[in-house]
Amino acid sequence: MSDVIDSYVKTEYQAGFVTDVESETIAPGLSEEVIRFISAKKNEPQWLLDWRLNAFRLWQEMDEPDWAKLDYPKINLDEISFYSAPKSMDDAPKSLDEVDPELIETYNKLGIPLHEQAVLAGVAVDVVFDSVSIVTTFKEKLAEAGVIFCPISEAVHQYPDLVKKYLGSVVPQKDNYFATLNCAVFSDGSFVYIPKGVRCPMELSTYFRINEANTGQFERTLIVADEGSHVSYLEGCTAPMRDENQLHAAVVELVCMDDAEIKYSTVQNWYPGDENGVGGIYNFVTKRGVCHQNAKISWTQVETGSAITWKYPSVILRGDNSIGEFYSVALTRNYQQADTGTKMIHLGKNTKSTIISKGISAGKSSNAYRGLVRMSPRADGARNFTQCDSLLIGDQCSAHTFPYIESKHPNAIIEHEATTSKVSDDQLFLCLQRGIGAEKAVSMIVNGFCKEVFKELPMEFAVEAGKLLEVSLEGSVG
Amino acid sequence: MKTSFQVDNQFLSAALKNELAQNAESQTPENNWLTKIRSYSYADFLKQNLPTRKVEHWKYNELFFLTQAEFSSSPLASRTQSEISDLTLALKNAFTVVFINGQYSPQHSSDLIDSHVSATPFSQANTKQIELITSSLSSAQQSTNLLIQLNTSLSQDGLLIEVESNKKIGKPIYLFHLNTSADENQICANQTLVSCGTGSECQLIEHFVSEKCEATQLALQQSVVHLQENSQCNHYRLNLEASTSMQVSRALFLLEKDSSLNSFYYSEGSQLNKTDIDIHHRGKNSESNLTGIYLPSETQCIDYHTNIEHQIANCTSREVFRGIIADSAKATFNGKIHIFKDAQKSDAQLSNKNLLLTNQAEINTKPELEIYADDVVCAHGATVAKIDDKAIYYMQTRGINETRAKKILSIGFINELLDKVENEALSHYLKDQVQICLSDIK
Amino acid sequence: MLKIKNLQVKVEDKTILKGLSLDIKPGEVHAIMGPNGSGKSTLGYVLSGREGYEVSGGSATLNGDNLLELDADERAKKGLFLAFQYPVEIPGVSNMEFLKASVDTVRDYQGKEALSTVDFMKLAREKCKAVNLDPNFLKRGVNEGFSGGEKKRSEIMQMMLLEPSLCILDETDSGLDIDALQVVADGVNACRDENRAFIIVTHYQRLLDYIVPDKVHVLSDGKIIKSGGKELALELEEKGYSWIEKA
Ligand SMILES: Nc1ncnc2c1ncn2[C@@H]1O[C@H](COP(=O)(O)OP(=O)(O)OP(=O)(O)O)[C@@H](O)[C@H]1O
Ligand SMILES: [Mg+2]
Repeated sequence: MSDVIDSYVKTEYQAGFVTDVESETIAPGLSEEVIRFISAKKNEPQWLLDWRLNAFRLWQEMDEPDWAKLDYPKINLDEISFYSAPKSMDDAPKSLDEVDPELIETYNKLGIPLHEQAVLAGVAVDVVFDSVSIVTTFKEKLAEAGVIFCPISEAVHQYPDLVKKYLGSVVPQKDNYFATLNCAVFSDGSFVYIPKGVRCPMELSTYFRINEANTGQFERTLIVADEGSHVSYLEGCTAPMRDENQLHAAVVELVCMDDAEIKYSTVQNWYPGDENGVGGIYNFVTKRGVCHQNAKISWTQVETGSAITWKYPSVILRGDNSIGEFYSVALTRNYQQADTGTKMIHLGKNTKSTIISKGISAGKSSNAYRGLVRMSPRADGARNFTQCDSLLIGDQCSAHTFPYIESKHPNAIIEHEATTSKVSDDQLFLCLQRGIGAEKAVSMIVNGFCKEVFKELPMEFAVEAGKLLEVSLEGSVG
Repeated sequence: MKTSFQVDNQFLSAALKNELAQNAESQTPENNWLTKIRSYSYADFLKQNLPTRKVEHWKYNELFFLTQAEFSSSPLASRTQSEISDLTLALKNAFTVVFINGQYSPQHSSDLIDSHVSATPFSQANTKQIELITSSLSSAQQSTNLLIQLNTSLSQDGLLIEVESNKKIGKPIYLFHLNTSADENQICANQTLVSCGTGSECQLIEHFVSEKCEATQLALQQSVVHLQENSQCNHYRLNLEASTSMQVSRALFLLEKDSSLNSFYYSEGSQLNKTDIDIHHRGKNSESNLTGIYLPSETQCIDYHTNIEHQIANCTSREVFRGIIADSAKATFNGKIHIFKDAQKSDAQLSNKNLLLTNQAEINTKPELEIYADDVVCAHGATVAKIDDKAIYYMQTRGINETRAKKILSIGFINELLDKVENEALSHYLKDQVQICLSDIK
Repeated sequence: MLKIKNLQVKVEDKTILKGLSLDIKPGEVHAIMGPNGSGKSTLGYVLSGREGYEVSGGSATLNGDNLLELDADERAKKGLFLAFQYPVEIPGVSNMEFLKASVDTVRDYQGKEALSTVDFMKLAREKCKAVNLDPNFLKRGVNEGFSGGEKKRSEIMQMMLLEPSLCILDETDSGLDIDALQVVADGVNACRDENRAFIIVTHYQRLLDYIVPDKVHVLSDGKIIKSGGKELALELEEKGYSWIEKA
């Protein structure tokens, strides 16, 4: 049966093709000039340029963090280009018809049709290709409901007050090495604003793709859900197969006002590198949301890609009775390394958080859960429940759990549980005895292991996530 | 990011520094192994700076206080036998070994003739014993705690306790440590090595007390217990120092094939009690069972860092720690299970539960798993909660007042663990002690 | 149908089956009884292809196919079914999903048309009813949190669904209450026909009142030491195993 398990390690990345578009890519390296260039390219107002430059200065004083259970050579920022955009985007397209057909074809290949009529019913999509947003669908329909969904570069011009007010309000400029870098050089990303009391009429979704070689992607997403509003947002990512490592350092900020709810789902499938650990995306992401009174933020992530994943979507439960949730599946194979988890900071009274994390390690990979649950001295009646399970496939991989639990309130209740197991021979044998092939059996058992998380994903994504795991399991059975 | 204070050995008095420096220079050719170990540790210690909270091991208890004070070496103090007897546990029939300010005090200790147990100061060890000591101490050197390195440098001697092979020792071996009061800040060191011979069985009780005083007594201590093949050891450690004392200690248990360890920790807290416990499963089929209770109150700090290493296949470990944190006390628990590559069929479970009694109390807990083998069963759990309101209410309806109900429930919370204490005299003593300690619950 | 000749099996260097022979024809029901640890479950596992069993001699064929060289799932597709003594739990994988996958592969192998989800559900519910299991069990994880008796009934339900040609029931009667025993027996009897054979491992004569066997074998220390008709079971009940072992 160990053959089945071996095959788990040997599957090919499905989204690894390169799109042949002419791009404008600036020379590698980071300096004030580069930042001025990016800002000028986007025609940004002075305040934003100043904001970027300030971040750059802060960043120059910072060191790359080394506390994560990750082992990789120091990232050489001199080799990375901080801006790349398809040439044809110079005069931004007004509608889909003006988008380069090559790009549309790219997304068709990825299974993301951009023509509105073909788009999954009820999902509006913003597409970010290398450093720029290339298209946003269903804009009009959303506008009717008063929902703003557009590239952040556009929002800077059209809704400067909103952007100015909330940009950096959840993840401060100084937050950490990668977030600060993002502040200085962020390229594009999505901006969402849901007005008071509005339930967003459809799922919003952004697809990120890194295409160009030697570029970094630094997108920035800002979602503001005003009082009593509701939104569900999905994010997907892919990149071509390349031998060198590419850096992705994104920042996502969620502002969830009183009684509002944000559901943020990610299916992260950046190129993970090949079976020898060559190439792959270095994914260093800062995601954080702040909940005001009675608000709720729910993070769901399925992480199967990237050579390195460093990511801790967090919730600051500022308002009383607010709720934070984190559901995660992280699958690592070959030489992939993941150090991911969440932070739940309970500030308000009766705040609640739930953490369900499922880590699956195979091949020679390393998979770590790192989490923090903090109960402040004000967090009367707060509760947390954490369940953290690891599944090991093969004897070359490793699984780790680092949950930090800090409490300063006697009326706060925290429960944490973690288990580690492997796909048991008995379970596999039962499946085989019932005629189910070994490959299918492993895939079923792994999917079963992740069930609690998958059920949190919106329908379309749940299917996609399930398939992603299956693709990962495909391979020869000896 | 600043991760250390630039102070190196400044908190040591001039005399102490001098003594340490002299030791490093004096290399008498014969019997210099101890001198060597001391000077190496001191050199290692000097290479480091005092860690701040940025350093994981000290995240919740930094050593900043050391920059604010100066410590001199504890003097040789003497106490009468009756003074000692007032403080020792009333254990019927024990082999008692007494340490005052870290130093072995033979005149207060039991005669071990014909007992199948021996106590040998390191300085008097024979060649075979030296080999045993150096090999065990070299395993102990890998501590990440720089104060333990300092302990080795400061220990002018140490005590080796050997339990004869294939002997079942009926009486407990009772190691009693007293720190005497002082007028100025003092630091003392102790290292003890217990070797449980092949196929032997013994009971080991370590008991720490200190006399109350204004000055700070910083006690450094390291115990290494080496369980040879097929041996069994029931170990208890009681930290009952005065609230002004500080102890930074480490215990290392080395478990060879088929050996079995039960270890029980009890601490009521002192100004700072930082305890590192390392259990290394080095031989197949070894078993460990680690239990701990901590009950800090006032402004005390208790910090346990436990690290259980399954270095080899087919070993079992169980760990349960529970704490009740009162007043403005602070407790830190870090429990790591580390399964080495190829340590298949490892079975490791850890549980940590805490009750916070007040708004000012603080608990930081981190159960960790580091796993490099797939065919293993590992689990940990941690909870932080208060005393169950429903249970209090239920008891009230049965006529028990709230304070009493809380007390009963708190004791219930740790009773299960106290039941693991097999030594009867000790069990009675601890049950009374818990009653006293929790009598202030409101 | 099933021919076992002089089968010898080792587990971790310990010989457990020491030359076992058995010949089962279509339509027959064979009961195997024997003391704990005699190798009854081992026989079921070896025939169904569980890993960790080393065949050191002898042969086993099912309808002419050499069973011992097939993978476990191939054997299942060829119609061999084992009802486990201790069915394992598979958390998160629903019974429905599991059974559909199983029925689909087996039917596909048999060249039968795939069942639509609707038809499958109908069939599965029907079989649940037949063994007195609430159809809600289909939504739960495979054996997850099932009581001992429920696990056993679920095994029979699966057997009915898969319509295998050789069924091995390993102590399916232990842990069942009287009514459940009746239900299981009815299930088995309903499946009996001239093309299907059964090996029923049990410790209790009682089950054989409900499912009347054609032959009864006594397995002791890895060998069949006595075979006979259904009367043998009664005799065993009365006299215990030592009676034969001594002989
Ligand atoms: N993996 C194994 N390692 C060592 N011995 C094994 C293993 N599996 C089975 N055995 C031994 O083989 C013998 C036969 O076991 P088996 O389970 O086939 O008995 P059984 O006849 O089904 O007993 P019961 O009536 O108790 O179910 C027993 O002595 C058992 O301990
Ligand atoms: Mg059996």
